[in-house]
Amino acid sequence: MTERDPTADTAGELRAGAARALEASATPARLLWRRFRGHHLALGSLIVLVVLAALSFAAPVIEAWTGLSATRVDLMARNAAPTLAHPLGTDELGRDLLIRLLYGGRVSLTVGLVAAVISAIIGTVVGIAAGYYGGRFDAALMRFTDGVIALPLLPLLIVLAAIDFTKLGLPEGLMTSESASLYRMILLVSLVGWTTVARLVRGATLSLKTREFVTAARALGAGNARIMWVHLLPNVASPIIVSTTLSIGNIILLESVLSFLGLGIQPPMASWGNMLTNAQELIYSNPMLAVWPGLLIFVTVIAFNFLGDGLQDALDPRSGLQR
Amino acid sequence: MLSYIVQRLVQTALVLFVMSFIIYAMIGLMPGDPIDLMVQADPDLTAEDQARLKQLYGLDQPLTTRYWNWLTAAVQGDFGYSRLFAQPVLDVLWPRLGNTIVLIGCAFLLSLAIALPAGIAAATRPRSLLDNAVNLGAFAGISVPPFWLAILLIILFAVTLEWFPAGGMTDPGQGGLLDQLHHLVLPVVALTLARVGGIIRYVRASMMEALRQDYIRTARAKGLSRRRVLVSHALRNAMIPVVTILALDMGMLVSGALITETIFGWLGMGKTVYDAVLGNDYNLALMGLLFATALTLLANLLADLAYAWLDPRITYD
Repeated sequence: MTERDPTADTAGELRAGAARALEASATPARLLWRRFRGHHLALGSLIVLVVLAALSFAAPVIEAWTGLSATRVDLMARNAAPTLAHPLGTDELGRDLLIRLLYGGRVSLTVGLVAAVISAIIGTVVGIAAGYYGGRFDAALMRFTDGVIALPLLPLLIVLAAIDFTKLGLPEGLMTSESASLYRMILLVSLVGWTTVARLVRGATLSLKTREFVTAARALGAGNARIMWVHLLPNVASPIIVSTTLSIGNIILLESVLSFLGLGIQPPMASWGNMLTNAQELIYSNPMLAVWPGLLIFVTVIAFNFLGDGLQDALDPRSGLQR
Repeated sequence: MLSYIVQRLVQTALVLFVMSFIIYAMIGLMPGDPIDLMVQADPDLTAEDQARLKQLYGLDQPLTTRYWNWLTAAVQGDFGYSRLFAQPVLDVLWPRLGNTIVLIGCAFLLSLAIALPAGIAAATRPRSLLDNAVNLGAFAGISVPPFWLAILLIILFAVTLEWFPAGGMTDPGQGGLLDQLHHLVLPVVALTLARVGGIIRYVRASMMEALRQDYIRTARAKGLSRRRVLVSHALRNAMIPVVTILALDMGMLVSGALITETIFGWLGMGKTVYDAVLGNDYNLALMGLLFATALTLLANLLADLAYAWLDPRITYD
């Protein structure tokens, strides 16, 4: 998996959205930016997320610079209090907490961003197809979506997380490699994360497909695929962007829960969730171990939620008026 | 209406049937199988013995045959034994289902008791200090990792203040109703805080939508009191979408209960499923998952029926 700046998507899509607004109604791109900027919480959240992501993805560099190590066990310095050498202290094995938090952030943010994008792609395909073709096809897809939404996901995910993929014929080497739990996590979360986008896109497609420009495109001889790709997709972009941003937070929460329960990201790879696995036993000896990873999850998730909220107001000015 | 109820019941039963097959297949894909567990217990078993045992227990059959065998036994009331508890699966599950319903029910009522007043108050004074505070609280509620919140509650109320026990169902030697309630407080609070933020947001949004309607203006113009307009005109209409969300939220509540039960050692369905999956207790995991699924499907069914009661515009033919 390639690593990348997690804000690249959002910013890129924001620019693309702004550019479209410019073409479509001669609304300056600045207007969009100004609306977004007026949403102080969203702007602050964006800054927090950029800083957090930059620090997390630079973890190996920081590790090399400071000489701290995320994996070096030092049994003489277990549960150490914060010092200059260890700014946040050490964990129950004497590993530096700060560096482990940064590495954990790298994993948690990667899972959140990649799984959110995959979910958005699945949801968009399902939603546009259901809305565009309509009829029984739509009914079947939407009943299926409703079914997935109504299920008790966590108990089911726990079984899915325990599944032995070699029984499905996947090569053993792939499933035992160090990053296997990362791929598995992304796959699992994407499998259940697409429903919100699918419903939103379907709703938008239903109303868009009766509009004149679609009829015009069809009269000009455009095929179904072209109408969906060229004429419908750009028009449903804003709800997709907003709900994808909001879903990143939910996915990070889900990843942290599964990892906390020992079924997600496997040690020695650190994620914010699995750093809390032992925390419950350590609340008497070192409660700060339980506080830091959770606090970072909380800050990240609430920042993505504020960002999504701000994007919604910026991309859809009418929703702002109603508030 | 009656035919609608029958139709929905049949639908629910059908979904449950499909889910039972999917869950059966998923459990079959978990690592190991019962023979592997026997080999662990008795390493002297030869490969021949293993093959014979596989044949004896029908594990060499294809998935559909195995499922059919399970299903025919299940409709006759034989759900198999739990490996971890050495009891019939249903004997393990019934009391735990009760424990989960107590936990979920209390959390559900407490969430409503918080979300309705907070959401309504925020919606009636948009952009006020109160609205902003409620909004911020709701955002925090949907963003906090539920298990972390539970751990923080334990650190604060069980370790530091020692007001409530850190987990379990009863204290040894006690076990009266009061003792059980005492153990129930922290799990219920943890589960409520994890879900209430979302509900507040829905109540607020739905109430604001209702307050924008023309009939509200009409009611005000008629000179009705503010309270009457709010309660009998706005709230009743605002509740309709809220009920749907609450029903959909039932799946999330069951999911949340799994986390809460695991952390607090509350012997409910969620913890049972979790323990069963980790302990390779296939029969128990299978039925536990089916119970959890049935619970959420039933809640959805109830919500659909409540719809008709709340919204006379909806007719069922």
